[in-house]
Amino acid sequence: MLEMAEYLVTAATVITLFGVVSCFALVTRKRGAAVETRSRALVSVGDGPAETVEATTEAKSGRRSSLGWWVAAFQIAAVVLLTAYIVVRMTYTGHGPFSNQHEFAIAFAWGVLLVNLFFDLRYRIRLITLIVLLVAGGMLVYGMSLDTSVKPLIPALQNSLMLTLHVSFAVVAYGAACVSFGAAVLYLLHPVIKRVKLPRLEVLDDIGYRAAVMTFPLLTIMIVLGSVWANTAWGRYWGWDPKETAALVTWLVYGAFLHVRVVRDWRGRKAAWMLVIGFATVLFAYFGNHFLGGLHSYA
Amino acid sequence: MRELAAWVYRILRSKVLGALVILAMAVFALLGTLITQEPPGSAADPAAHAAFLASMQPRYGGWTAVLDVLGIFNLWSSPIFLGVTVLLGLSIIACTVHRLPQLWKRATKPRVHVTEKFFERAQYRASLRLPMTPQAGLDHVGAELRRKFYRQLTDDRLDDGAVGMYADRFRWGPFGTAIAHAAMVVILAAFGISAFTGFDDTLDVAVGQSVEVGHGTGLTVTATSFKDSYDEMGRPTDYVSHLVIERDGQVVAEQDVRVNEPLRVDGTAFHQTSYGIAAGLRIERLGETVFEGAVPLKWQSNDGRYAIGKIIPRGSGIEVLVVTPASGATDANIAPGSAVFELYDVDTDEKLDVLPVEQGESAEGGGMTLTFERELRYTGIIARQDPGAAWMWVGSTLLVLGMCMTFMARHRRLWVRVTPDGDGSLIQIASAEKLDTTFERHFRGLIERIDATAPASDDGGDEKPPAEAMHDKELIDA
Repeated sequence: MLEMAEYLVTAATVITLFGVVSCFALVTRKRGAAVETRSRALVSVGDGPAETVEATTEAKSGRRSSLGWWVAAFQIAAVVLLTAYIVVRMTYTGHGPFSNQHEFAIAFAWGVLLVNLFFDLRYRIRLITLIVLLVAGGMLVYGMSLDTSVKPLIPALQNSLMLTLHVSFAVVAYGAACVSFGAAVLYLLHPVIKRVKLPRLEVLDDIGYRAAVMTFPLLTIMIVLGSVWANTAWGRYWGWDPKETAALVTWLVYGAFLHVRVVRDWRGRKAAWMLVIGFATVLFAYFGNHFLGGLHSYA
Repeated sequence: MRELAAWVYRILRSKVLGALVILAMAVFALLGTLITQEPPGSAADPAAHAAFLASMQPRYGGWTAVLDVLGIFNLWSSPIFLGVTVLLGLSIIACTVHRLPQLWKRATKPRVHVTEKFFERAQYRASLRLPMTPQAGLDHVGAELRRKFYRQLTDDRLDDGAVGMYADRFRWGPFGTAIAHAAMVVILAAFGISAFTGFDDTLDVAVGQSVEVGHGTGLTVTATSFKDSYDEMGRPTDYVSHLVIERDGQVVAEQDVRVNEPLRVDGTAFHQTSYGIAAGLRIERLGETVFEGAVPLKWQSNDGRYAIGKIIPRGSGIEVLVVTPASGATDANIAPGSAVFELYDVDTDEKLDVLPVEQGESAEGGGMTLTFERELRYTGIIARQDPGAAWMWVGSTLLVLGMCMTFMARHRRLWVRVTPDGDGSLIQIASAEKLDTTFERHFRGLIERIDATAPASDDGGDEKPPAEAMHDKELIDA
């Protein structure tokens, strides 16, 4: 049963790669003519010209290309397949899919795809999606290369509710961090990308910020839930375990990013580099168990 | 004095200081992760501390002494880390106190009237001509704003037939930052309370024996049974102790204790942490029993062949090592079921004697009679009182609440002015929000809605806009 379910991950990986290809085709195609919109109202933002607002949402949906539809469809399909795999595995193991590196890698990719789907449907910046799908695809390939067998949980992990809650928030937070990373990378590459029409720099900057705004509270809740669990399991809410500390460093980086953005109005390249560093700390926290040991050495 | 206090306050509320302190915390956290930390209790024991430094020497070489002096091996309790933590708390308090009056004023006494130029220069500007009187136009805009939960305050400083208002929503949202920052102070205080109050002891309780918890609790813990289970690979899948807690000879609590199922009695929690083999010993000195109980064989020799336990009998000045063959190991020198006592002078670390004994036998050495009564199983129980934990949960809850308010309920402000324009009115709406794609979408959507729900003009509301106003409106369809 479980071996059959692993085909779902294979299918999700292939579909994610299809998403990458369709994204690439979408962002490199020639753009169509501008669409006229009709409205009595004029809106100006910043130094921009006075523009009419969209008269109807139908006008907007009419402009969507079939390639754009496929990009969204591939992402939805990948999320559905991975969700099915996670449900099957949870049914089989009786706990959340987070007790070893394979399960966590698949859940990480699921979180990345899920959060990106939200941003993709909301903002439709396919170049960010392209970068994020590459990360998700890499994570799925990595997850498939690991030992997929089910082993009994060590006693500390035998707290199904806290395990599931604690790591669920981590997975979604990491997904949001990945989206902010995608926006930041695109911001930094903006000057060197010539052939593809890019979104405005301030839009990329703002999406990176929006994703970080999502990341930070989720990381906070994840750390708090971990503390509650640690207090139950080991009698202390904080023990400076290497992975705990790595998570704190990640939290501090995103906290510093939001802090300097608000109080120093850090935007642009400096902010983008902070988001890149933030995602690097996320990856450090995720892969840290390979060389840090400690209480999180299982995943 | 007052000038000094003002200067200190100015320094503490400096955003640069805040950023530097946060950065310092991140650097310390990284150092604490990458550099091996000394085991708890080791620093207070000169011999154990020296042994720890010796074990670090191959890794850090000449830096070992430097790291030791700086307290990096005990980073989380080092003065430098505690100092930065206190500085962070003070910086947070100063920044928050400095900002509160501004937040209060913006929430309770907003600027309702703005100049005409504001509608030409604000970050977000919209204009719309509608076939209705200015008051009807303002009412129409107000109705749409109410749908989006905007509070409305009328601008009564307008004349020449113009009407206007100030509208905002989530005006208490910015107080989320104050709550989140206060939460950080509570959390830092919780760390301090946890570090300096309560207690945290590991009790090694042999099965069938009792150990006093101490610290004025009057509690005694007895392990009546212990059971461990393993998978086919030999990894532990469960270990559970049955504990009985007594006070003044009365049982006050009793429970199976697992890793995730601690036992709590009157603010003291008992957590399952470890287990293993112990040697049951009785040690007599000058006719008095100076130790009787289980010595956990917690350590292993470097080659993994021996299990070792340590004890310093009361008043002896001698450290006794109890050495037995490790589980599954065979050794020609120590037969299964027997043990060797090694005696060391605590002050000089000089080896005084080596005493082989069989189970149930006694040996003389160091002025003591040492009896190896039998092998036992022991369970490692952490007994802990932590008054800081409750504050940690208060701080954490406030932190999440503050963040949600800050990020999900951002204070949005709009100014609306409606002036007569021929047979109808010119509606101008502006906001000075920072550039923000989410607000941009909200603003455009709001204007679209105001336009879509307003009456059509007499000459037809679907006339084409001027050529320069036609555009590809993707905010973002790149």
